[in-house]
Amino acid sequence: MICPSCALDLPAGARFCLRCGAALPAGPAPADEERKVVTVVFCDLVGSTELAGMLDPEVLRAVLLRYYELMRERVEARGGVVEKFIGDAVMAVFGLVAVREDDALRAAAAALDMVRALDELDDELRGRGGVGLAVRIGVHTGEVVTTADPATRQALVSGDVVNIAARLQGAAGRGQVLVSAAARRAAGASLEVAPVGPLTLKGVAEPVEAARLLAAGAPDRQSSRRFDAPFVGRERDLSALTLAWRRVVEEGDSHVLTLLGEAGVGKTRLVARWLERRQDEGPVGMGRCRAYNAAGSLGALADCMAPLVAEAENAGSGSVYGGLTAAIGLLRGGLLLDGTPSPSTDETCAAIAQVLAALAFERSVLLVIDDCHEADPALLGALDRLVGDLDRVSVMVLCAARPELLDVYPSWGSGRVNATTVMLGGLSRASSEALVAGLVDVVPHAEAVLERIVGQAGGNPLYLEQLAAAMGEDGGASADRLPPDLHALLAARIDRLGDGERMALRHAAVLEGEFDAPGLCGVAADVAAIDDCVGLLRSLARRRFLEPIRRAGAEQAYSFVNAAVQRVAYAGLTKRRRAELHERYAALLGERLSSDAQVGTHLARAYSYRSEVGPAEGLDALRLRAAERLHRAGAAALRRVDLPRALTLLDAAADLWQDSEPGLPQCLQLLGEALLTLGRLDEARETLRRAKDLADARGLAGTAAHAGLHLALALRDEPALEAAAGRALAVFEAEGDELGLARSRMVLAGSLQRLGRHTEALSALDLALAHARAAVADRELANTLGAMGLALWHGPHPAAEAAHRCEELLAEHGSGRRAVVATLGFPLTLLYAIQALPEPAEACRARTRRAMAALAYAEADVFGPLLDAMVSAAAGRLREAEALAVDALAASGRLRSDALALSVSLELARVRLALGDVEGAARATAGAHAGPDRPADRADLLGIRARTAAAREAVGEADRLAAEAVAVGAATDSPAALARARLDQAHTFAALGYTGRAAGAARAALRHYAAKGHAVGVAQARRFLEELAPR
Amino acid sequence: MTTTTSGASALTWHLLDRTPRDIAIATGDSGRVTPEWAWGGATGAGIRVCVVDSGVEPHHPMVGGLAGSHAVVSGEDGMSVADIEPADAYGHGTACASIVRRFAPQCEIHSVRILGENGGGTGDALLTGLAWAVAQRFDVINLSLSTTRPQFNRALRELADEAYFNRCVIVASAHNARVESFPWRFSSVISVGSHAEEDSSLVLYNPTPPVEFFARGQAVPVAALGGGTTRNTGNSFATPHVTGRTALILSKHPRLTTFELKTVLYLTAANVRGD
Repeated sequence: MICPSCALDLPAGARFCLRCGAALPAGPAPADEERKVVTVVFCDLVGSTELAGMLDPEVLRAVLLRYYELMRERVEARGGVVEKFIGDAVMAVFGLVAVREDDALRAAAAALDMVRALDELDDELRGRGGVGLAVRIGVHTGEVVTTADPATRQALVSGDVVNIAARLQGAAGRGQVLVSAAARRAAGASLEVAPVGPLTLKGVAEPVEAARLLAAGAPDRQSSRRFDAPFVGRERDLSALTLAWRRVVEEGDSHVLTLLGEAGVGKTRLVARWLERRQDEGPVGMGRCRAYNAAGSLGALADCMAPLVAEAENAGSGSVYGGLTAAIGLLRGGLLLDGTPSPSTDETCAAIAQVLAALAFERSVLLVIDDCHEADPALLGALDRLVGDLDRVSVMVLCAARPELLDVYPSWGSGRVNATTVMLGGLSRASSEALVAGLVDVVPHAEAVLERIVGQAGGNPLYLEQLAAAMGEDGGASADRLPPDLHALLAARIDRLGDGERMALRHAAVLEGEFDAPGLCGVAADVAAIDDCVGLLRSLARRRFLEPIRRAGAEQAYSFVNAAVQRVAYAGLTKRRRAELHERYAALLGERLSSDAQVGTHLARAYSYRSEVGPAEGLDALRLRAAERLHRAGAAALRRVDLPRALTLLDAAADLWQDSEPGLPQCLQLLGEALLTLGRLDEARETLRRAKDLADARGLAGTAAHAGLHLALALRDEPALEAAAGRALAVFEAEGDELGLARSRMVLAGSLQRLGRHTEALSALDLALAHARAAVADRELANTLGAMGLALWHGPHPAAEAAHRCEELLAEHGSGRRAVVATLGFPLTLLYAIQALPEPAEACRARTRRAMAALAYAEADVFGPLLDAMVSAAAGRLREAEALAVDALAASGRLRSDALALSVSLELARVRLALGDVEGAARATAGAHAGPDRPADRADLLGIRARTAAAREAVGEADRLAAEAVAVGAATDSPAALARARLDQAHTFAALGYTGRAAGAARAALRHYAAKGHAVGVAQARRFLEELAPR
Repeated sequence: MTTTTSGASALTWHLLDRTPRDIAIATGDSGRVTPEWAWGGATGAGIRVCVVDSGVEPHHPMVGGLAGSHAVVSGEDGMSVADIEPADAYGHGTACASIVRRFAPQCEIHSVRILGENGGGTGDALLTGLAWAVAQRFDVINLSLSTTRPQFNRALRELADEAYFNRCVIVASAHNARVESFPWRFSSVISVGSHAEEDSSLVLYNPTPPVEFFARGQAVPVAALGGGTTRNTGNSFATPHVTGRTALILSKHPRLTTFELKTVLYLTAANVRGD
């Protein structure tokens, strides 16, 4: 069990943390606990002991009270909260009561303010003959757990975050502020620092990267935006602004345009770009609302009016408007002086209206007020009032705001004819990509790179900027962490939600994909009733955290607007709560008959969080449930031949099973199968060996037999494989294991096939097929059918009949099974090709290759180009066939399969022989070996060697090799193998000058090829005979 | 020799929405320059290929031995290139190297790391790494990346020209999005985009540049970190196909200048030959 406050590992059953003393939760996790990222400022007074010795206690008390007061003032002025005074130390927290996106920056600025304030206090004391007072300060950012209840808040801000801030304070010099790397990252680019390197701090395990703070930029979120980034994809929105403006100019009436859009969507940029394009079209006044600003409540309006009043003053000399001078005077004495409506709002608005009317008489006037969601209610009231005063005056008021504006001021813009609202949405995918391309200096051109960024950002340019920026940095953000700025921005948005909505959003973050109110209620029943859930989801959609999904059915469904919002909402749940919610969601999914993979994944996450933070009761049962579900899901994925998915699920299940449990050997055995099929040989061998050992030790004969079969396969050891299959057959029969029976029958059929006994192999495969069907195992079904196809291709069945049989099998079993299309497609393509039917061959080849590509079978890297090579060779495109065979050979080397490498090198040699490149053929088969246990390959190899020997004029050897090839080929029931050996013999005889014997051998080859219906072979033999005749 | 183009008239970045047939090019007799003449029997032996990227994982079965491993590092006097232990935290360089190795099994592969752990890089690191690679006179430099920053344009162009006149071939990937970036836009490098065919040996000439050649860039089987394999998509993975072919051609015809090499690539492109 781990302390949720400081992460110390604790003995089970502890009720208080041994290090930080935090009370540890018992029973279910309180639903209102949240994890928050806060920044802690720890400040201590240097030299207070000397001071105590020098000053009268009464004076000392007064000095200390001034110090406390000053520090509190500075902290609160930046929006922080003083949590406690510990002796002379002050601990302040930013982001606890209200989370703001720039909390870390505010904390840094407050720390510098505190140093300055103390310098001033010290100057004051020095003036009275005092001592040198100074502070030192540490600043650190990290996660804490909080509750909505203020009474328990203080106890929970403790642990590592506070400890590191305090230790940094201890390491700081007089008058210095040390900030941790985490605080720096969170504060963004506006901090100016001097690095001091990693510090080893007492009670902190890892060294802390720290820096001395020199300056902190203004807490203005715009300062970190990239205004050099390309401006993309906003033509429609620009036109909307232009359209509204034209109406103001042409109709000579006022208009309020509200531009709404979530944080970072690009409102300010859009307005700036529009103003740039407008050029000189009349006077413009601009202001920005700041929630946190010393300027008066109407500060933004004052900023707007300052240049306009100046212009009116210049232009207005000798004006017909007598009252204008008085209006200007009123504004100069009030609004423009301190941003307040003085003497009254009514009079101020009337004066503004008068100035604007005077200016608009010449040219239409534009007022731009940005960030209206931050506006003081007084400002919004004044604007409303002002627009009422501007009847028939050609003025456009452009207000940019986040949708939250409508929460504070629901009636904004409504009930007035001369008002429109433009909702600024996210960028399109293409625009997002173009933007990201311009944000990072150098990017690799892999699509996945853009995909990750564009997918997370949901078209929000700010998110795009921050995710792209993180790509250019080392460490920090990574594939599974958001950049700190983005996290802070979203955390602040989420924190501003009401309690109900915030908790609903956090709980919804556990749900996958689309969800509805009953789904949310299913996991969050302890915090919200179903009726509440409906309203909460609707409200979250209105605030653009969620997106309503159009779908038929009674319940409105939703999804998160982007992955970043979901992640930040999720990060706010305590781990204990996450564990509970995942478990409940798993139960809900179970009721809805969702897949084992879904249920298992949520159970596994519940287990993972619970094993971190407790409680321990029932933990093992949870682990077992998770393991069973994932195991089952992995086995099913393997049966469907969805290999990457099977690997993920089985890996996760194997992590959950313990050595002593029977699930583990079985799970490892399946995992080994998946690894083997994916071509990851070394891992497959290790995994299968472990599975076999564990199964043997526990007496699990069936599992051990399966593992043994696959291990022999992975070791590429054919005799061992046959022996294992023979032994396993009995085990599987005893256990009624259809899958095992299918596999061992197939191995045995494989050895018959290797021996060139294709007719017998076909009978054995019929049995294997029946077992594979009974086991409902797609992979075994596909492999068996593939083997049947190969037997039909090589064996004595005439090609047309064999092709027909393959077509029947494909029609019966291939529908919806890519694996069958791939394995059966291979021999079927070749059966068409040898009959010289190029069109069906090409169609079948293309379909087979597509199926192979979709399967991710490692062997497809060999079989794919090999198939292409054989089709090209049959069609006489020999150069192409050679290049493809070379590709296939390289791939077989990577798979370390001798059998495959042999087949491919034989094919390559055949292509080279056809090209007349006898030495090339010799090179291709130089190291090849085919023993008596694979007579067809052996005959093939001997034939190639005979022709090589003949070309080298080694007469006796050539004769002998050719005869042996024929003898070995005759031991198989493959007409093509025998025909090939006969034709090789014919070539050999011809090269040695025995024309008569050559013709005899070629005629024999012709007969065998004809019996098989091998049109390509027949043509070859005929051509040979024609060329031979004139000699 | 005459060249006519058919089909598209607009500039093209990739060939994902059309097929090789759409850009068939009729040439006169291309003479003796056939694929067989150009690279038949070649293995890339003796050719030094440099992958300027995120580094290359050591001992990956699809990459094999590395002849050199370097990185751009920042020091007090600015950036420089230093020897490092082979490593790749991001995986992109390893994937590219595995494609080069597949085509040119016996070439030397050198790596210069210029990208960071999260895949992004700075223009200065690119300039430093590329300048170093050009100074080493590698036979072929694979650049599956680019910069959109115009301020690096001039320095990159000068480097590309230096490479061009010194038989140091830069094979540079076009951007995946339709944006301007460098150095692939320069005529002194060999620029590569993706076609949608599932054929690793298919290289096409683009009659409507800026991209000059197309190679396989969709679901390409490549090396994954940790010794594994995966499939990746993007022009990044089309580029090493052409790098590999270039290494083969140069190993058979080491005296070719970059101009001549580009001509050989053109004459052997499948759509130019009418294959």
